[in-house]
Amino acid sequence: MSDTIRFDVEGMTCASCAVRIERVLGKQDGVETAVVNFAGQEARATVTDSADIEALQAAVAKIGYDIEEIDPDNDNRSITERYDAEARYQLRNVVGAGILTAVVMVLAMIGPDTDWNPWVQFVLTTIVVFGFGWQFHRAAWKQITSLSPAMDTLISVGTLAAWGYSTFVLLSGSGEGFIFFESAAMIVTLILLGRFFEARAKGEATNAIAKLAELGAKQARVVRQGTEVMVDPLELAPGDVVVVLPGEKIPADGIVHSGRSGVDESMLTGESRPVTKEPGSSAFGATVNQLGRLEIEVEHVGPNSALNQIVRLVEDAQATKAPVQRLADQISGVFVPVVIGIALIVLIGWMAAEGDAAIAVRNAVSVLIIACPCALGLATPTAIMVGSGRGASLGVLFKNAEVFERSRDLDTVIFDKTGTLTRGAMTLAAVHAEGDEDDLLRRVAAIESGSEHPIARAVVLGAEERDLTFATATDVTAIEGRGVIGTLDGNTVVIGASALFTDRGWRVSPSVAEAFDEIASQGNTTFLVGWDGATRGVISVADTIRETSREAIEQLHHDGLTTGMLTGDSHFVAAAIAAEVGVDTVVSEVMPAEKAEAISQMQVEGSVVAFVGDGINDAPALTVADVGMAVGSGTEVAIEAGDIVLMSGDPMASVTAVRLARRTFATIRQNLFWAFAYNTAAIPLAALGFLNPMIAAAAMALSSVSVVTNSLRLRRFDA
Amino acid sequence: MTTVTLSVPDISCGHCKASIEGAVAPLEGVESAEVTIDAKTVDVSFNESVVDLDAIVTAIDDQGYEVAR
Repeated sequence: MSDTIRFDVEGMTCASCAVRIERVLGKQDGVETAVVNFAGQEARATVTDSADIEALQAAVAKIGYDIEEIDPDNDNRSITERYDAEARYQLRNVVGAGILTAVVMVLAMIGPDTDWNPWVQFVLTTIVVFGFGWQFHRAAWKQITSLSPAMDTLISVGTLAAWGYSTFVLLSGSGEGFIFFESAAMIVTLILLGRFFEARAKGEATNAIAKLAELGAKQARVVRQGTEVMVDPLELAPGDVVVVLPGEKIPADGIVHSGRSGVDESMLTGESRPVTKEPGSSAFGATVNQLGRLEIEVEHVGPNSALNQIVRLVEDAQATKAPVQRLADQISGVFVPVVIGIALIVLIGWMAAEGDAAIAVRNAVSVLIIACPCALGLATPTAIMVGSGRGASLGVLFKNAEVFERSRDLDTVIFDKTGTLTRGAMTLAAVHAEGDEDDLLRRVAAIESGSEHPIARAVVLGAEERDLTFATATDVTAIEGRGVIGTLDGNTVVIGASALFTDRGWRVSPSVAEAFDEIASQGNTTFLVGWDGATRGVISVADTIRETSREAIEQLHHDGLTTGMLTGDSHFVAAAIAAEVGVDTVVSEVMPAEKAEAISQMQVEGSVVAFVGDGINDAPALTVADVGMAVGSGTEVAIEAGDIVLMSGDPMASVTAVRLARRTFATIRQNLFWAFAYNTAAIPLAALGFLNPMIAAAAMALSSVSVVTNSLRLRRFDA
Repeated sequence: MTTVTLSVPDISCGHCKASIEGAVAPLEGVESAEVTIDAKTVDVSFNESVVDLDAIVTAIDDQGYEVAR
């Protein structure tokens, strides 16, 4: 008897940490399998009764991570709630540190010149730097011992230098009484503020997997010992025969045993045209049966089903997606050794020049103090906040902060065809009539008006859009795969393939046949229409291209991006649409798994790829792409899987998204420049012994103001 | 004193370096252990009569890293 236990995992910094935890858990007594998902910060283990949760926790703790069992009743708690908890934690830090820092600032700047003044500053600052600021020192230690300095190292060094030096001055009474407590406190507070902004802006991480899991049929109608019984689809076994009534979801993958019907497979393939299923056809779980009754012999249940393969693809893509190293950390990584180097040079220089250890040390420490840019913590978060806000007002939702850093090297944008570049629904394309077009359309609409078939609805809609009134035909019969016949005002009207006409001896006129060939060659679904013994015209429906698709592609080209289109459609139709829209590359006749692979392939070849899609079948590709853009009018699963949500269905929104993401990243880079600029300019002053608290405060204020103002400029972005 | 270079393909970040070095270096008989992140290798110098290679590999394995032989 095995159970599955889920754990929250804390402390993972990269995907390989997940692999370590998997291995360690897998080796423990009672654990059959263990899977760790880095992106979801979660571990899942199947265990037998002999597993000891505490032993598992201890084993994982030994390699440096914490796991907490997730209470199954509580597990609807999404990642959003976890990030909310982090945001609240940071807010408490900011408020606490902020209040104390404000007091210190007041005392330092305009406070009374009394004996106790600096001591109060000392106490308060100690609380701020070591209490609220502890997270930096702890992280800095990890970074230093692994020789990979990042932002935390810089902050820790800077604040400790400022605090340490000031404490020394206070206790020993030397150093002209220059104390820098307010610098230390300010740095901590501002960085904490930045952390709070970041935690608050962290969008929902991918919850796509949970959504995908909800898609399956909830019940299956199984024939057991001659009677129909309702069971949970997961309890089906290969060989069971399930009955699927019109309108129901197919509960599992299998082969059609008997019956004939059209099935909407759009959620798997993205194509809106129903697929005909007859004995021998393969049918897939979670797809929707339309008008006929089907009996299906089950082949795959659960893990092996087509739907689960999509889940697996998304999981794999999530697990292997490398987190982008933040620009701020990259810069800090270089800056820290340089600053320490300069401090050492200053130390040695002054020793050699003056021989006075006190001065040498003081100046070296001054370098460390001034080098720490307090606006560093604000540089990235403020740009992201303003950029996201601007995006929201333009209909582009940025779901996470990494997307800005990822967009910096973007060079390719790939679109899913159906629902993204095209409307996704059939619409009336061409009408050709020997006689009056409206008359033809009226007759066709009359015949099709009773049908729910997408093609019928397209025709009816087309007629309504032309303000045509039409009657309802009688005796309408659908001839599967061929067309439809009905009676209108006593006349028989035939719509469909030429065989329907020749079979009843009707004449197929050469001009109509020619029109048919021409229209069909454009890649649309085309039908002959006729009455009174002969063909009278041609009608076709197509998945029409959105009005702005062409321009969107042009604009992307203008920005120097390569464009492409992925679709499950036939080569023929895909090529026609690709030519119309102007994309550089086309990949057609792809299954959902292959879409993700196509994107991977491009990445292997060195491209940084954005993918725009809307359907469930797009989820893997959206996750694999460097930047996944989900079209807002698409499925919930796609929206969860994407990094950006384009609220309108308009392809032009992708242009706006790319431009805004790039501009926001540029702003981050500019902010980082301003954050460092004033402080770095002051380094020579510190080196030469001229640093005083006024200069430090000035650098802090100027850099903070510059960063915030620069970020606010993003408000005026217009695509 | 023997020096061995082990290949550990899962090494990816500074974190990993700290964990592995922290697990191997304290072993009795091990003089030094150094991880090169880019090459994904661990260089270990140890006294063969006090500790053997298996114990070192086990220490790395216990941390969750597979040692390629």
